[in-house]
This record gives sequence, structure tokens and C-alpha cells, in this order.
Amino acid sequence: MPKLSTRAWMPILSAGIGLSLFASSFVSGYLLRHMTPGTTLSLIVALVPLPVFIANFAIAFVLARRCDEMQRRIQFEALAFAYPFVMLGCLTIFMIHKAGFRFSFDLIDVFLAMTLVYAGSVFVARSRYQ
Amino acid sequence: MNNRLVELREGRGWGQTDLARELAVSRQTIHAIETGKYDPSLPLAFKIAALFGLAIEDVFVPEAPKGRSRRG
Repeated sequence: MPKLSTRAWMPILSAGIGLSLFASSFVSGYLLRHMTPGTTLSLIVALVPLPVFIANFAIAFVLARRCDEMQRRIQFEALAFAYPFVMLGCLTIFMIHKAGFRFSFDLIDVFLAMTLVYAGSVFVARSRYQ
Repeated sequence: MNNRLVELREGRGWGQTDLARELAVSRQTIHAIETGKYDPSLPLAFKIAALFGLAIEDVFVPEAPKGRSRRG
């Protein structure tokens, strides 16, 4: 079996962290729906995804440090689009809420939207340099 | 900005991967520079010129100005 380089391992590791992030968030949310709110146990269960989030950010930081200058530009362009796009979406939803139209909206939805828009933005930004 | 990177690289019998390894950048970056989609930073441009033992202006040739460019 061929040995994978560190560069090849990092995306696999990131995907693993990303999947565990969504899995831990899902499990935490599911358990919280069946627990008494305001207890120590519910607090612990609510914070279960936190180490995975921190690992995710650490991996992203390490990956960014390993990028060369063009890859950093691609990441910058993707973030420069994704961040304001998602923030505008959030602001729009808050304005709609203030108008009295209530629908389910969670912070994890923001994270999911950010991930999807960022992934799409990276794809578009990368294609500009190919 | 135009450049002679393909000519210089092929003159040494190198592939894009070989040049990328020499410059510690990705192969995609080499491809983007060669096709004029990406203009390298000054440090990288100097590194490329030094690798081929040339002056920077012997590798990179500025294009005539023709309005705004998105690259930089």
C-alpha cells in the first residue's frame, strides 16, 4: 500500500473532522431534546461538539499555513465572498423574524450555510486560476 | 504579465511538478503562472529568476496596459 504524504493526509483528516463535527452536533442536539434543560448533564451534552469544533479550526489553521501564495489568495477570495454572503443571509432572516414571520433557525444552520457557500466559493475561485 | 517559464522549464527538461518542488509551491500555481492566470509575488518571481540564473526581467515581461486587471 503506497504511503500517503502529509499533504495528502490533511484533506482526509479535515473531512473526518468535518464529519465528526456534524455527527457530534446531531447527536448532541438529539440527546438535548430528550433531556431536562438547565441541568449539569444537559450542559455537558450541549458542549460535546466543542472539542471537535476546536480540532476543526486547528486543522484549518494548519492547512492555511501550508498553502502557497496562490492557494492563500484562493482561500482569501472564497472567504471574502462566503462570509458577507452568509452574514447578509443571517441579517435578512433576523429582519424577517422582526417582522413577525417566525420559522426555525439555529446557529448550526449558519455553520452549515457557511461551509457550503465557502466550498462553492473555493471551487469558483480555484477555477479562475485554472 | 507574460513570462518565459514554460520555455525555461522545458529547457531544463523539467515537468511542472519538478519546478513546483524546486520552488516549494503547488503544481497548480506553476500552471497558473505559466498560463498567465496568476502573477507571482515579487519574492516568488525573484526565486524563479534565481533558480534559472536570470534577472527577473529576463523571465517576466510586463504587458502593455489595457485597463483594469483582476490579477495582482
